[in-house]
Amino acid sequence: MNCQNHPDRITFAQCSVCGKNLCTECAIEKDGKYYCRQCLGISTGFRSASLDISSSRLILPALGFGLLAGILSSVPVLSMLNCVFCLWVVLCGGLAVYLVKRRDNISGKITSMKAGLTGAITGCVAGIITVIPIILSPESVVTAMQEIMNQPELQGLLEGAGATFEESMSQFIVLAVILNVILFMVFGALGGIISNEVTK
Amino acid sequence: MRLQSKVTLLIGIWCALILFTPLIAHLFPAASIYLYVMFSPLCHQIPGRSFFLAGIQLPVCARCTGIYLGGFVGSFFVRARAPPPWILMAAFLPMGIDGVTQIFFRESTNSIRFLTGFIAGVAVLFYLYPGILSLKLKR
Repeated sequence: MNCQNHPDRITFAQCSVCGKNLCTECAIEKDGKYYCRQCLGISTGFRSASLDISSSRLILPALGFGLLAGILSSVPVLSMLNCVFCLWVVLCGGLAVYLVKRRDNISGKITSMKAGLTGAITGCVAGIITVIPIILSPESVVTAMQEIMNQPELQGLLEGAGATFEESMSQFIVLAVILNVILFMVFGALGGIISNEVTK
Repeated sequence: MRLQSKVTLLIGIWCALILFTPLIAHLFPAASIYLYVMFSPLCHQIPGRSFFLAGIQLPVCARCTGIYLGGFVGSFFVRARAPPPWILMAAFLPMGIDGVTQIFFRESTNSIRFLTGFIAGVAVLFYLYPGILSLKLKR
């Protein structure tokens, strides 16, 4: 049995997906299994395998862009752009992944796990920076929510149930702080994954 | 369950939280406050730029509602391979134009905010899904 791509060469392995006979040049090892180029591409929708880079290479771009996203998300008028699909966090998460790839001259993709991790670190840093004003001045949460809570219909329902925003304020502040960091991490990771696809 | 179905389900739950907030406010008023706080890091929640259902404001603005609902609809049509990057740029262009021009020249409407957000939301899923798929395949 010879390689299906090179009939003059003997079979070294069979593709784990399609079973095609492959020579040493055609067989691509991944996680202890062998695949042909077509199956690696077709089964995942990508032209080539993604590059798994060291986690230490992600840290600096993620911290830098996390800091930038945090600052942009804290500036009063600019922070409103976070309303557009968490723009600053997604954008900076994406830029961090782009920078990781540029630093190592990677023209294709890095693994989605690493792209997501880079974005998540970026989002985490941004989240921590944006919650500092909330921790320093918890009243800002009340002020921000006041416009919604003062709407007659909702106010009527809250009064009917004997619930007020002020009485559980400490709970809401803790919730706001935790969710801010978690949601920024999630959206940062999404930005990293999208950027990895767009810039491949 | 297929990965695509899981993604659709997850985004569906997210959208349901947004759309059912008025209902939750009527049934459990105190619980609705948690939802408004939960969505506050992601949206300005300006009443004038948000939809109201049964007299209660949704926890995100019209544009964000469009983005997330667009993502939900887009999740039904995603493919394993991401389209060319220019499609993402083109999909974000109407939202960008609407968002920028409303600051300087004109006042947008909630319908336009929703529509432009919806287009962008659909497009985002086509780039997000291949990445999530490769996460599953550990590549």
